[in-house]
Amino acid sequence: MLKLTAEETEFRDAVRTFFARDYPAHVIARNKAGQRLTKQDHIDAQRALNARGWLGVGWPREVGGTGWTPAERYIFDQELELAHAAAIIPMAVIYIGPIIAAFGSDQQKADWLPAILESRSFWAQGYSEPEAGSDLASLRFSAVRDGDDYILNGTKIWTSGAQWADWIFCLARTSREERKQQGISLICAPLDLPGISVHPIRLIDGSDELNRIEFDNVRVPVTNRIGDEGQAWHYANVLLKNERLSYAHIGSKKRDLAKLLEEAGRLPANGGGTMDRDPAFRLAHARVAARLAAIEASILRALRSEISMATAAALKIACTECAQAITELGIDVAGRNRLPMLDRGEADWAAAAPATTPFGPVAVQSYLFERAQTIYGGSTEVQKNIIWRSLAGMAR
Amino acid sequence: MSAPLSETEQTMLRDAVRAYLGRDEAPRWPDFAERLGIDAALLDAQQGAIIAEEIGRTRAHLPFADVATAAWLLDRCNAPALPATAIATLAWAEPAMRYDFAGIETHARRDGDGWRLDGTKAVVGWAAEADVLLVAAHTGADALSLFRIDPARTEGLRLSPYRTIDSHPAADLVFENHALPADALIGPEGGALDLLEEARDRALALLAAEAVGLLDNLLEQTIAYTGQRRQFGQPIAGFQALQHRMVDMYLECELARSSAWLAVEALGEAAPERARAVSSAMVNVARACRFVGQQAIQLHGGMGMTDELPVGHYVKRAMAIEVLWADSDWHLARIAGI
Ligand SMILES: Cc1cc2nc3c(=O)[nH]c(=O)nc-3n(C[C@H](O)[C@H](O)[C@H](O)COP(=O)(O)OP(=O)(O)OC[C@H]3O[C@@H](n4cnc5c(N)ncnc54)[C@H](O)[C@@H]3O)c2cc1C
Repeated sequence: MLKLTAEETEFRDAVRTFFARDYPAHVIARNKAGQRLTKQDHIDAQRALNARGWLGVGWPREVGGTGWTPAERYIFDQELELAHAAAIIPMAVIYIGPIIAAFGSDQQKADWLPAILESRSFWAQGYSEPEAGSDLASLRFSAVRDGDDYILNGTKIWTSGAQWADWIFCLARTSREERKQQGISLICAPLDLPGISVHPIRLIDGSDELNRIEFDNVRVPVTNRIGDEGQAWHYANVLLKNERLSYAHIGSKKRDLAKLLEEAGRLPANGGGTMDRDPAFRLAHARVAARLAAIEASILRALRSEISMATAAALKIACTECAQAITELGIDVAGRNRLPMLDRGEADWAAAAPATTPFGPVAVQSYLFERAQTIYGGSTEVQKNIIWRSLAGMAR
Repeated sequence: MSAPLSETEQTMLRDAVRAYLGRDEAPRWPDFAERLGIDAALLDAQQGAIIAEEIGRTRAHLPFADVATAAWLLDRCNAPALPATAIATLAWAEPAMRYDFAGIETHARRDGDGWRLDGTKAVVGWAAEADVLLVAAHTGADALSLFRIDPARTEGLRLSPYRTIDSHPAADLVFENHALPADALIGPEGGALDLLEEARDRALALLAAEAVGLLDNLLEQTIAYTGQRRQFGQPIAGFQALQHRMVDMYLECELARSSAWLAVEALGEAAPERARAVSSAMVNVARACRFVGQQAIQLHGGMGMTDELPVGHYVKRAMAIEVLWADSDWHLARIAGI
């Protein structure tokens, strides 16, 4: 059950060949070197995927999607990651695309979906607010009906990639109801409208790809609402259900573990030799690899069956904690090379710190950034609350 | 070594440092050294630990441990002392080694009356700001020596400055046929290894003390933040899962504090006892740095990831402390004698 079928193996080989032959090599090179990708890099990468009909992962066929089975989708993700290809920015392709396809009007599908596939528009996700993080349902961002328009007011925060995005999809309160999950609508806005201001947030790893966005009396037509008024919570949950394995990233974990061994082969060990021969490092590495093997088996099990919310939550915890454990191994093996803080946009670290291996700054910045994995997408603590609710049922 | 401070004297020193570091303006080394009259504290680990803990608490950018380590080495080598206001730092680590001094490849050869120095030193704290560099180099097979270098003499010295993750200044140094006068050699020729080992243990004890102040502050920030941050209609500190996590952080902080005492008091012991105690202390300090740092970010949620709050900066200093002189695996190997 954990093995690929003959057809799946064939598909995997086709995907592998694609990344080796038909995918922009400069994107792979930058990614491999741990440098930040530019927007143009992402456009080049998406265009290559789209040329093959492989960008709309998780979209139905009739709107230009791949229509893949969960297993095919998983195989594709894994090959993409193993090839050091650019991760698909999830906001448009993974998050909002399938919702537009499922609940959008014909006009919205015609306007928005092709623009996403052709990399003409990038999207941002406007869910979180300063006072509504884990408790998302308490959000206050408001959309007030005014004739055929909504007037939007409020603050969205932690919006990834808004500096690149053309559009944002927002959870907005359109009415006050008894249950705070009700009265929330899904409303889209172009980011260049008057009244919208985007303020970058600098993170501890030196990146500034998160943003705070202020909406001050921003007017959008009612036709920018996806689906029915007050139903956004329901749509968000449908999306969540479709995307519950999207945190797996088994391919990138395997790739990063392999890369660590490779880098260890270049790092000196105490008493001579290199770190890839250091018993303490090898045992620590093996420990994470063993964990990853069990997590991969869990994901494969989940792919072949219906899974509960609790199982999805458990997998999210396991996958994100494993990713963090890999970045910990990274800073551990880097040793003092973790110390220099160098700009990841710069190509020439060797000149900035000639006695430091470039792996060090990449390792430390990954470690810092990936601390967020257990915070976003439902924090570990919140996932544990979900799991416990199901375990508590077993005790009754 | 000076006589141990009485309780009252310790409190006075702590209060003086705290008052100085509590001012609005960023502290600067010469002024700090002069105003607090720290000459004695540079050579006395008990006093040094009090100062280092306060530096950790405020995350002040001061080269206290670097200057103290260099001052102790100069003192041990009977070399002329520097004024406490001068910045001195020791350059030992190299790109082709990990933590063992045995891996040092930089070497000095005699040239007439003086010396010529060749080699590369990696991530040397405060090197570009230093008035004096102490450089560990071979003067023969298995013979390590110490050289006192004036960084203003730049011929044959390439210095690449940058900031480290904790925003401290550091630099990589490349020496190429760098000329040194005869009196640049300090201490016994070829006899620096034991001195370096002891200097490292002293530096580690100060780092352990710094970690105590740093981690205490991280815990305090986290308690304050979770007490004020509301989600689901209540302060998140009301969730027992987070309460227990903060209790775990507190336990690590307390073990780090005991570890700092253990390390400082071990400095007077014979080399093997000293090494074992200091390494035991540092294994616990490194663990505390890792755990408390990770949990502080996690409990702050998205805010913990921002450059704007102090949390992340404290966490990054803790990440530096973990490896500045050696990492946990090195300490474990030293304790285990392997
Ligand atoms: C790198 C990054 C990218 C992001 N990208 C986006 C984006 O593109 N769009 C978007 O809308 N949002 C985005 N987010 C926001 C993210 O979804 C929120 O950070 C997340 O929901 C947590 O909310 P918070 O930060 O307000 O933390 P809080 O909710 O304040 O949580 C603080 C701490 O309290 C704990 N806690 C909260 N409630 C409970 C409970 N009931 N029981 C136990 N513990 C609890 C949490 O687990 C956490 O440890 C991003 C965040 C990060 C860090």
